[in-house]
Amino acid sequence: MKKNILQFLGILLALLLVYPLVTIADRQALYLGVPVLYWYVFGVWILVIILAAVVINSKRFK
Amino acid sequence: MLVGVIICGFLYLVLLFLIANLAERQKNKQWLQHPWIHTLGLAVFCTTWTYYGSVGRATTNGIDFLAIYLGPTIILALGYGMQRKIFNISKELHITSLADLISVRFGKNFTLGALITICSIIALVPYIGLQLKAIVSSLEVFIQADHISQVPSNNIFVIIAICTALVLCVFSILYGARKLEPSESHPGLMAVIAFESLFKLVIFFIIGFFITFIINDGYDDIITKLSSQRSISHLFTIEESSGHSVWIAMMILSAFAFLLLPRQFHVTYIENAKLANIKFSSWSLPLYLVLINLFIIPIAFCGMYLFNGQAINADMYVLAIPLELNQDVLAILSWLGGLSAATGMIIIETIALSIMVSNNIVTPLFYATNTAKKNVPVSHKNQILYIRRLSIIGIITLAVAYDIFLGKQNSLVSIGLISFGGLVNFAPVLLFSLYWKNITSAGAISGVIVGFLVWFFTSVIPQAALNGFISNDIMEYGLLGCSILKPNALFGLKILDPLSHSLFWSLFLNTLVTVLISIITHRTRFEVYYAELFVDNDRFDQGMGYEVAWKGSARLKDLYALLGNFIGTVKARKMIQEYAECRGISTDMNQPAHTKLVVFTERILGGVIGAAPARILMKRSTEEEEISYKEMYHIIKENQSVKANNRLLKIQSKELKEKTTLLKVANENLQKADEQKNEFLYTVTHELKTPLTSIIALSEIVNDNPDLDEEERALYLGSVIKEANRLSHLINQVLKLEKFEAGKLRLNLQQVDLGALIKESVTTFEGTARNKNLNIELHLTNAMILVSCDYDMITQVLVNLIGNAVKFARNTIQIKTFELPDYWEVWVSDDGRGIPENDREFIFDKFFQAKNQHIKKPEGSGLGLAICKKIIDLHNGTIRVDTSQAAGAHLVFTLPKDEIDLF
Repeated sequence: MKKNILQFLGILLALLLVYPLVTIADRQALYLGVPVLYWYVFGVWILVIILAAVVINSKRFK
Repeated sequence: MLVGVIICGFLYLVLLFLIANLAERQKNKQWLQHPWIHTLGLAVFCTTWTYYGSVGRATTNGIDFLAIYLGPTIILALGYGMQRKIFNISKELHITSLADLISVRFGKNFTLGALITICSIIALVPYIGLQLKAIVSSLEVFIQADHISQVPSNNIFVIIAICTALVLCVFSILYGARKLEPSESHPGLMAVIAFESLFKLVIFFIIGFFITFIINDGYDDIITKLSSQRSISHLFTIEESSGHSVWIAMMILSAFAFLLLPRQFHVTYIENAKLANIKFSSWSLPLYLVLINLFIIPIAFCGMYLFNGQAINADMYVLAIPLELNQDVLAILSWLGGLSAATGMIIIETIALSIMVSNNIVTPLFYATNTAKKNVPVSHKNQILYIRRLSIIGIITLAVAYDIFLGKQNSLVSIGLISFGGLVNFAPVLLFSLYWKNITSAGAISGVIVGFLVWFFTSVIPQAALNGFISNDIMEYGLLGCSILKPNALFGLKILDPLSHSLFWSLFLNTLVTVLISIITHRTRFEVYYAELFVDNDRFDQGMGYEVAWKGSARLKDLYALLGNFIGTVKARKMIQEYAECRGISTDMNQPAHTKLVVFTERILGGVIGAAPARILMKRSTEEEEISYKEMYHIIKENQSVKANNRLLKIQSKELKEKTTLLKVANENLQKADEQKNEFLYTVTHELKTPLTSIIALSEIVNDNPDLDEEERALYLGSVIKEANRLSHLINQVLKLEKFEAGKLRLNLQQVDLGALIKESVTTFEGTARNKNLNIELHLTNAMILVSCDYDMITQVLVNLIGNAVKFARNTIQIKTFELPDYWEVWVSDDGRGIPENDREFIFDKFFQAKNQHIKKPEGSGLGLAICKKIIDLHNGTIRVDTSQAAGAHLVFTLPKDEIDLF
């Protein structure tokens, strides 16, 4: 089960970061002085890492 | 300052030796398998490319450098299943490298192993050279800072490069090729790699933090400053900096490279002994990657701002910025960080490549040409060690040569990406090896060759033309003037950028050829065997053992001698005997050795010197016979049935276990019920006996004394009737209770006003209460409390509870109702002696009263509360003793507000 959740997270990360979804954030706009794209890429990346860590370390999924 | 830097660098290298030595001397090597050590080992993925190159890349392409780290993050999550598979196979078959893995998959195929090794060297030597170049060119920054008017000649840098290479060579030989072991595990090496990974991260983080938050006011401040100087908005998007195709291509390249790079493969599957570490790394390594990449953009932008228009290599901003701000200590630290990134990669990549070279090219060739006499194993332990050491020297020499003669003007990232592009050509063969049984060695070989040639043509040739090593004609007019053979527009495909163009054609043609040739050629017997072992690996039960594909006769003595030649006779004998003992195989010296022992010996030997040479040696030391196709299919069939049986057995035993547990629970319940029944019977008879005894005694008195006077007779008869009534009441109660327990009673639900019901029940007791001088108080919250319940039964509950209260109360009885969200609550309280704490749990049990002798004079049957509980349970309500009040007994029951939908 953990394996499948991890695989799902991997696919999710890949889809969120490539064309066409990434174009949503691929704009010349700044948020708090930093380009929106930078927020988006780092945000998605860190989020997936946290989810992966939670899934791997949780005892609920075997 | 330059001299100081070089001395620091030298001291740093000495430190590495000390760490490695310390780690080798540790007795307990358990810490080496710690998940964080494994993660830091994997972080060798971040080389000077990350440390210097990403900054340079960011100045021209925005955040596309991140794709190099997002790829591994994706593959670590997505490919966890595959990594697990490779890990299990590698441990079972004692694999030593990727080339070894592929070679074994195709029946210990020498050609494939050698091909993969050669391709790896072609792709990676420039990459290693690049690291050396980074060390040297980072020193140039210090020269510029020193403002030395007389720039030292190029020779100094060549000497520094050679010296560094020499030190690293010695290190690699000392800690990577000191002795032959059945498992390629190098504690000193891993300790150093982990240390270097931690070192470069901490230093880079400090530099990044310093630049971002100390000399600037954070990310936004740098961007604002730079934006006011020049337009950088194109760096804010992928679309306008590198384009989506490059972004995707870099992600694919890095994802595959992460799996296929010899150093990553070595750390993940060869040095690592725990599967759990791989699982752990799927979040811990990405975390490392995030941390090391956090400050690349601010460093790049800050450099662009500071050195506006100056001719400073953007790759070196990490050094140039601290130098410009006169932070010399920080600059030297930063240089050491870069040095650690370079040396870590060079050392482990070289060792991993040298294992490939020696196990898959030189040693097999050595044995193939060495026509030693059959049946006389000769020790070649030293020769093999020399081969490995020479491989290390050879690879580093090649890297230095590349650095000196060819690696001049290229940026770190461009060469790195080309290397990755070459390695990606192993991806189809690896994936097919693991998931497609019908791939043949011919298909694999031709696929890799075609893919690699295409890569060379579309990636290396353009780079060579760019650097002026070959004429630019080929770029403009195509190979041999053929316009469809242009390196950047192969077969007229023009819409892709060079990077994705190369990736697409090499992967596409590689896969196409692999599949096509595999379809039209046949597998050898051993390919069929290993296809089963690899593709269905996760279905094999490890340790169950499967039929081995070996036929012939061998003597145990020869096996000991053969393995002993490489790892020492005592150790060899111990390993083989332990294996035999585990599987109940006899190790009688007089009998021919069991085939499983032969295969085991070959595997262990493969772990030491590589699978292909082990095959050659085994053939020589034993009387091996050819296995026919028929026999091979029999073996495979046997394995499949073993596999299927194991699976079935597992499922069945699981089912059996579940059923046993269920039965056990049922049995316990049954026993409990039986006990309860006995106890109940006992109390009932006891209860019946008391009134019966008095009835008999009284009747006898009346019967035996005919001369009793009328008044006395009436008294006795009255008592008899009273006792008989009690008896009848008791029997009624028992019958009722039994009806509840048997589930025969049905609720006759109707809308009832609970308030009216309570008032009515209270009226029954008014007489008794007045006699005992008791005051019954009603506190009803609502005028109308509509509940759906069985009128008669709830009346009985109230009568029982109020009856009890009347028995025990001193002055007052209170009956209250409360409205809760889902329930109506009814309290019946008295101010009597209350219920002892120990008894609260049991008062709803049958005959509780009878069982407790401290209540001196039993009044009632002892079944009242038990019946109340049954009734309330049937209504989906609860009944309990409230303990929050200090004095008196407080019995509380609830009735749900909703319609009970039970029947």
